[in-house]
Amino acid sequence: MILSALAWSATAVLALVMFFPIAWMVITSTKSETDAIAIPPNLWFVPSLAKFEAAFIDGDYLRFFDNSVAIVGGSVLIALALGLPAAYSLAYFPGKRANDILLFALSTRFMPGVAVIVPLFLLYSKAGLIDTRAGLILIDAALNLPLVLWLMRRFFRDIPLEIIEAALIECRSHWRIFWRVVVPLSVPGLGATIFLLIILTWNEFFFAVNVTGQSAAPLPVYMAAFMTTEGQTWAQMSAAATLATLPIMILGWLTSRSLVRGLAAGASR
Amino acid sequence: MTAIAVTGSQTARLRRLAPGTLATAPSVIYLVLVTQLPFVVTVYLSLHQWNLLHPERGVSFVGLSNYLSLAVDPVFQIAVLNTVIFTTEAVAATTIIGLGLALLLHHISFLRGLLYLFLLSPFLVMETVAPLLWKTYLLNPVYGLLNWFLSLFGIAGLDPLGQAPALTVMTIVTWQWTPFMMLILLAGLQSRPEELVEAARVEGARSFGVFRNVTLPHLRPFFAVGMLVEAILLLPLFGPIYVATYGGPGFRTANLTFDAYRLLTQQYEVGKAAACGVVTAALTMAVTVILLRRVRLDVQRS
Repeated sequence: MILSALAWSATAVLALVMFFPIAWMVITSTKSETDAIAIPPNLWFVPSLAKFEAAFIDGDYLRFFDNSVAIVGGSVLIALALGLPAAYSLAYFPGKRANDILLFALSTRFMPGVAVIVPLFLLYSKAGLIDTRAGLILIDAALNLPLVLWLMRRFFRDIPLEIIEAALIECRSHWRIFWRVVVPLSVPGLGATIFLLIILTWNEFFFAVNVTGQSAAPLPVYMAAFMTTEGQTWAQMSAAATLATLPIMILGWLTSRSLVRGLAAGASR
Repeated sequence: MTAIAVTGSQTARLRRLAPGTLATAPSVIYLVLVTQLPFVVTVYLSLHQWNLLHPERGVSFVGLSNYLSLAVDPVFQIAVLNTVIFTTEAVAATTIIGLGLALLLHHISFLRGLLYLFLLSPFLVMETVAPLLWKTYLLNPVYGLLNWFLSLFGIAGLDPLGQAPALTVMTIVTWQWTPFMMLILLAGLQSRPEELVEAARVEGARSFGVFRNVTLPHLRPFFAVGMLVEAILLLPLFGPIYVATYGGPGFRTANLTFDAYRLLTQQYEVGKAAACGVVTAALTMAVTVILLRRVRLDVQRS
């Protein structure tokens, strides 16, 4: 009994400590700049949304937000368009090379960015792709593609083979079976995969900072520019950080369970 | 990989109807074009002298001299050392703390879902925002909460980013990645066969005995996979270093990725930056091979 109470208190304290910086970010975003840097910290203040309004109206936040949405959307769509047919094929018709293809795809995901950035940077400079959304979309799609292959192959396999076989004998068109049978039956898995891709692409920084600049940079690059902030703009920075972080965090909260379940099951099969 | 084997006859029957390579070829080709080809070109460039600031000098083959000049470059030496230290420390710390948190979460039931979400959250913070939160609210020498807290006990102010920059970067990374390890180990704990735990209890094992003889062996493959993925993803760490210290002061916190970034975007030394990238890839491959061998052993044993 006492041990359980102790374990619970320890968990609660640790959870609050881990979450504290995030909570403080949200609290600070509703303060005035003076309150934001007050020492001792001022907890009796009138919260206001002024800094959020400022981020939307005066600041550049919206421009970077648009870039982020376009880059995430574009790269996820390309990865799905290329990866879903492959995952379908690897799930139900694994040829001799299925293992090789999957391991190859995984190895490309784990390749450090610095090992490919130099030629991409040079090529992009020559081809006019530097500081364009399209340029970053092409790279992020390659980061997302291996995850589509691995996760969706795994989720497709949850559909009993008999169903696929029966459908194939009946209509013989892979295209129609894919859209009419496979996709509708794996909506939860597809959702979890898409959410994971969105979270990862939304937060990607290395390629973003190397191939984009003033006009096409997404939010991680925008946030990095606050690194020299020295106390004058903490409330403003907190509002921008909250806007950039919170939507993705909520998405992660909503999907973490199904993702962990899917991944754990995938690892054990 | 037994993962892909299906019952033989079914596969054979289905294969006759297979969509052919048309389904997989585009993915493979795309990955080759965007990741493999650039890597080959990186290796090629690493053997050449090419500075974008001096186009008149042109591009010339110089053999291994980029690698040799990196080897005697003090910044590069620090970068290699930091890469190894940051990765090892982060993997070790997140594994230990993550195990503790996973065990606690597995044990409790009241408000478990909420506490789980709190503990998970740092992992979902943008990697350029996490260091901002630490270097402003918490660690800023003048307006930070740490120094205010210390002053309550009459302790003089600290400047963690100035006095211990590497330790600060590692702390931030540990904060972000502990939830990842916790997640994986929690999945492991939840798949622990309860019959084994019961059997051990019946035989008179105490809690610690169960932990040592049942729980830890069961978690081995989960440790291995978690540590492997984390090592591969943290070896080219970039965002937290860029935002927290920008590699400084005086390159004391630069790692291989940051050094390549510096060589490319500040010195425009294409050859040297490429060589730095090749070294990073080689290091990643070495870690992967070593850890993957361990994973295989663990999976076979369990």
